[in-house]
Amino acid sequence: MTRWVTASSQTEAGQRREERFQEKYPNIKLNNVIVAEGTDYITAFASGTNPDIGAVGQPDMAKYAYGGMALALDDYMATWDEREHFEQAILDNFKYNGKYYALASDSYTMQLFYNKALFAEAGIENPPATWDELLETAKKLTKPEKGQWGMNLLLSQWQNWWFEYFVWQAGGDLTKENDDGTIELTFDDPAVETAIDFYRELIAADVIQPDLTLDYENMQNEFSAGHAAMTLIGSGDITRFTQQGMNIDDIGIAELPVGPSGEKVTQLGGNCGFIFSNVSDEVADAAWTWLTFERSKEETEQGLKDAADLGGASPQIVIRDDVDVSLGNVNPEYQAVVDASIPHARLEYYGKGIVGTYVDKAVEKTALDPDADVKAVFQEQQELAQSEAVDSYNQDILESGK
Amino acid sequence: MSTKTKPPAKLGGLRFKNAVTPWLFILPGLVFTFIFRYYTTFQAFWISLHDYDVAEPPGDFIGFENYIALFKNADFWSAWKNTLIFTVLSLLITFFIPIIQALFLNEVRRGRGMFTTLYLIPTMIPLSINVIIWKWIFNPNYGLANAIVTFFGGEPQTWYSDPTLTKLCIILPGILGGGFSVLMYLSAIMGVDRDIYEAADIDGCYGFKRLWYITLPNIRFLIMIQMILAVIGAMQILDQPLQYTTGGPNGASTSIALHINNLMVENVNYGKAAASGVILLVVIAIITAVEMKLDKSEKK
Repeated sequence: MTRWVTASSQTEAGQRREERFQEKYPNIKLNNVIVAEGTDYITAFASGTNPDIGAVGQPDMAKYAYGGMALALDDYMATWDEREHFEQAILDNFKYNGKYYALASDSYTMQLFYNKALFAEAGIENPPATWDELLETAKKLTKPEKGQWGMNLLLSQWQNWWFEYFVWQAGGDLTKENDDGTIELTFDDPAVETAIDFYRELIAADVIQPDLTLDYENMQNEFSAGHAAMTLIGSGDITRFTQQGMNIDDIGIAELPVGPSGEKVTQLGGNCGFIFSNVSDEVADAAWTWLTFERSKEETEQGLKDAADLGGASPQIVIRDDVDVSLGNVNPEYQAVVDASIPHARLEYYGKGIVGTYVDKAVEKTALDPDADVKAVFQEQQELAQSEAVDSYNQDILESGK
Repeated sequence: MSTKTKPPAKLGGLRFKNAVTPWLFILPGLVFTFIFRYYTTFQAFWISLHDYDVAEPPGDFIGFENYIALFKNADFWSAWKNTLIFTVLSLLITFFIPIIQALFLNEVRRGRGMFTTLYLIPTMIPLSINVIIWKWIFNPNYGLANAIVTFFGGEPQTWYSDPTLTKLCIILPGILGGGFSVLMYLSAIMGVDRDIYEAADIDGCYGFKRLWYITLPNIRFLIMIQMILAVIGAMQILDQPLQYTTGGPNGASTSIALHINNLMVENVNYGKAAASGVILLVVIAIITAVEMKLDKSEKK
């Protein structure tokens, strides 16, 4: 059974897990193919060079399920004796047209990360709780002479990702899921314009990264380097910053600021594993064995212990109900923030994997150009998204539901 | 007494051998060229005529709808505009540098080997390392570029973040020149017949005149070849905008090749990506044909 791994994901703990798997299932040969970060499964599938199992974020899974690239797992799940230990809502995140196509790997909430040392230096005691406070705090933390800016804002790639939070916080959404599972685009929601106005305010105040072309990875690196005082990232990414040399005592995490809607809201994110549809039955069986092994109680607890050995696991959103989370030695301060965020967390907007690039384009065009007509640009992208992506997607859903 | 020296059958075998042997040498190259160049090109054209379905290829046949949709798309035209600007900037800023460097090396008597090595070393540095260095140089807060600009009383710039400057900043690193082009120009210059220079000396043709009337005309064939390759390379520019700016800000550095990449990787629209690729191929072919038509160096 073949799977893709990246150089950075090849940790010692991961290799020990593979050894345990091979020991337990000697008849299955696990082939790791090292690929570059971001290597595209779809291109590989098109040319028949895909691995046997894949791992993607929750919003992207719809593309593989509806695109016929993922194997339905219902037959396996019907006889899976571990199923009862998984949160049903988390399993259901990967159900499309009544069938399961993937298993959740982990779950996280999106948080505001801030540099406690820079906050103390600027005399700021608490992280911002509202949009207004976010702007004011960012202003105080922006010190161009030190190469320091208030906060990161995702503007050069995947713009729709963080933008959705601001739209939610303004009381709206980018799409709507109809009862039959089809997507309805709502780029004309007034909250979209409110969110763009706030983006423009942040950009005009010069409180974000001065290099607007910084990609996501480098932007987060700038947070660990102490250049960006605040950033947004998943609760599971604390170790990412400490591995880059950031002092864990300098890392603060907080809930996302409240916008004009007055409601707290954040993203419930997560990754999943799935089996490609073009594999043989024998390989599919082996792939299922790996997926369930990775998510077993023993392996989940071993993962927590491994993280504790490295200084403590990231705050947990438990996907199994029979795991002893205390094994991860999670910092209670971080866990409290994540626990407070969970009731306000929601999945990313429906159909993000299908229409995200159109939102990216609209955000980029309007946020960076103060003269751009927000309504007109989003309307234009909505029409493009409708004709180029949504119509065929909806048709597939309706046909597969028949 | 017979005058025949070779039997007819053997002669025929030798002729056959002579006729077939060269083909056997070039056959592997031809086969691979057809498979990996021409077949994939035709395949791309075929894909461009479909609403390509990855799971059940090739999907619905839609004729030239992908092409029509592209022609109606503002981002497609914006990418073309950026590509043409990249091409012009690339020719203006980087094309002539290796020629000047080769002319300099030709005049140098001592240390030519050292200078040649110095020109070659930068080609061994990966683009990603260059990106880190130049991103630092153009960093708006602490970069060298703004230090120089402000030293001379100018206003600090945001460089890559400025839609009007970003393309220039991406091309500018090429101003350092160097690379194999320098070696090629140098070998061409050194290959110019010495008798011509001696005759020019007798006629009192020195310095810039000698360069203009003797050296450059004699390496014109290479300049034209390099020009054709430079235009093709600039029209296909992908790595630099992708690594320096990911095509931003606001699409200001999205070249047509990057646009194709985005259509395929982000939009998963193989039909349109293939259609864009076919259009790029046709445009490059036309420009190359015009360049070759204008080239008189072979005819002289």
